[in-house]
Amino acid sequence: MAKETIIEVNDLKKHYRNVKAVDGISFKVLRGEVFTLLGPNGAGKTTTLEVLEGLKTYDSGKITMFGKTLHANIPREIRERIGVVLQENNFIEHLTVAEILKMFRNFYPSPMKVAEVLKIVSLQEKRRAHVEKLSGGQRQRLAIGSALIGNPDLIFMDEPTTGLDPQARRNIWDMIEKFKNSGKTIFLTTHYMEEAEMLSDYVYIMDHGKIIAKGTPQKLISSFGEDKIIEARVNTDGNKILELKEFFNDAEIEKSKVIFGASDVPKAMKSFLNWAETNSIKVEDIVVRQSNLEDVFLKLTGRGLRD
Amino acid sequence: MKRTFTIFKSLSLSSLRSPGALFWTVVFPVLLLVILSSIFSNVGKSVSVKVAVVNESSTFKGTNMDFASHIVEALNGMSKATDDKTPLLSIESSTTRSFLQNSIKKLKLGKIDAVLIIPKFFNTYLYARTLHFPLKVKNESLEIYTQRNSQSSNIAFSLLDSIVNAFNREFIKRSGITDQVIPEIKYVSIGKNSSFSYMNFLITGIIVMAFMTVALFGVTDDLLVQREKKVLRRIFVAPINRSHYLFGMTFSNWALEFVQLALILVVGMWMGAKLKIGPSAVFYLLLALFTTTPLGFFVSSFAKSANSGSALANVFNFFFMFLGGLFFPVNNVPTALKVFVYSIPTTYLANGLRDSMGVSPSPTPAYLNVLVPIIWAVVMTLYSMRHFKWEV
Repeated sequence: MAKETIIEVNDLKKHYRNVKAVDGISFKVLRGEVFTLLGPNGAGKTTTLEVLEGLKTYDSGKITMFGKTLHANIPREIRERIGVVLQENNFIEHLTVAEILKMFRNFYPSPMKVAEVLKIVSLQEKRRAHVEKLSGGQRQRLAIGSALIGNPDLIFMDEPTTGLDPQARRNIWDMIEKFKNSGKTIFLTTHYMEEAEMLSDYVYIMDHGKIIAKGTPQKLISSFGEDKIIEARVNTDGNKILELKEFFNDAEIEKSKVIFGASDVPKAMKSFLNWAETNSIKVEDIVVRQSNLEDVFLKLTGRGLRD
Repeated sequence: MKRTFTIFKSLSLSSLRSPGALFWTVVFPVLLLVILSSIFSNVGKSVSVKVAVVNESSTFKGTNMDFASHIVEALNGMSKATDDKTPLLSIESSTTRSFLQNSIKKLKLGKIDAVLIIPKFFNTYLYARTLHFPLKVKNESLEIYTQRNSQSSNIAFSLLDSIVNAFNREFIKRSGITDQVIPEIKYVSIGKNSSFSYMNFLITGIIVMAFMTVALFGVTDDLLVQREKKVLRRIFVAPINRSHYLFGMTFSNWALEFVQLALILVVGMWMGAKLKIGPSAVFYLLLALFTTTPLGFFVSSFAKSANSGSALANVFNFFFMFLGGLFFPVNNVPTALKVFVYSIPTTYLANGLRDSMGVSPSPTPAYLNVLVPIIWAVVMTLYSMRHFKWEV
């Protein structure tokens, strides 16, 4: 049985004067999946998300959410079914964690219990703490809790782990996994390829307001590059390193770093080391790793995700 | 309603737990009341008072027995400025009936502080007293009209009383009369029967100031700071409308203002204030509460950031507080400033409140005291609804 379409976007456009923030994108989000918009800063991810959340209007295109076509404002019956984690999350000061959750709880018709949400976001011990006393990770967990308290079918998360330490990031990923397993649909934006790769069922790569690639993470990786990646750091001048292109057509060069795909790793490694020896180039460091979405983005745009 | 109540509760809790907000909105007005009333409880003793002298005496004109003219001359002498000192008295005098009627009208409006009437046969009566034998002459008393509720009017009366007493002493010394004090003073007061007190004057001004402060700073905080920190944005992606937030915020500020009002009244009464709290006072208190409410929203619609909003709120607060006559009377401000004084709502709110609480008669008509603040409130609300930006 086909999954229900939760969001359908067709040819969405949003321009700011001469900047085409969102330039004719289309996609579908199905029930129960984690849908990710991946792209560098300024790609148009947040603008797309804010249009879907009703925070911004759009110039043209068509948006359907829960089977209803959206216009300038999102009707309350749809807002009651969505939860939102914004990129920047602040709350009314001097209120406790539990009071913030209670406040948001009162806006929804069939909310979850505060204690239940506190447990999910692991903030039971902080329930009486004032919001301004929370750490970045705790504040982000509260933001997720406030999105969850209305018991939504769809949760929008705009770069939920940006600025968090690895441990806090890992905690958030675990939470998103749990939401997904409980059947909620998650619309995520991120510029962390590991995040997109680990959590997403479907990834749309966005750059300069356009979708430049789409598919499951595995499919994207396999369609746009080799299975394995060799990364080497060399000590030489720029001209010498450019000659490497003659040996490895797909090599990407970032300063003194050479990155190239290899289906046969021993053979490629041998060729590379021979080339280095012949040209008296010192190889300072060499690693072999699995290719990832960063490599896909690099391949597609010639830039890194965090450039 | 549930959503509005939720916002009301959340913002109220936040305000109650914020030491800064509590100090400026609740403690500061009370502190100001205590400080100002302690410093200026004797205010008015150094002010210049305006007196109209109606000299109706028509006998013994141009002779030594023209006692009325001696009194007028003495008063005129006091009204002359000496070096750098402002004269204590400012005298307007005439002999006509129309001047008398006009002067009484001015007194009622608070434009002058007292009217002294010297009766027609005043000179004859005094002359008869100097003759040392009983003459059946009608007692011609001096009449002093004052505004009982006005402190400057009381000062004017004291001055006139002391001048007449000095005149009496001189008259007795020269004429040798010892049996009774002449001339007598007949004291006529106009207006409501209560005496002026700076404490009463101040407390009503502080109430208006307190309402204005919460409206200005409370609302700019709830709107601009929360907008800047993206708190509003987070709230409005939930199923809640702007009207829920606006009403919740307004009710929260009103709750704070009721607390302020109670505290100011309790402290004021404890410090000796005597106010009449009747239906008209309640009406003016509610009018002040409602019509100051859009002030913060209005100021916020001009501000791009919380900082500029706070600066703008301070400017409004400063002008509305001092030019509205909340702490000191503004009857005697320079003409150029009077334009501001009579354009701003706080002047009328304070006048109305003082009149309704029996503090002092309103120098402005009652319909203006109601109409001007309402017009301000309506214009501010319409402007803010059109121009306030919920997103930056």
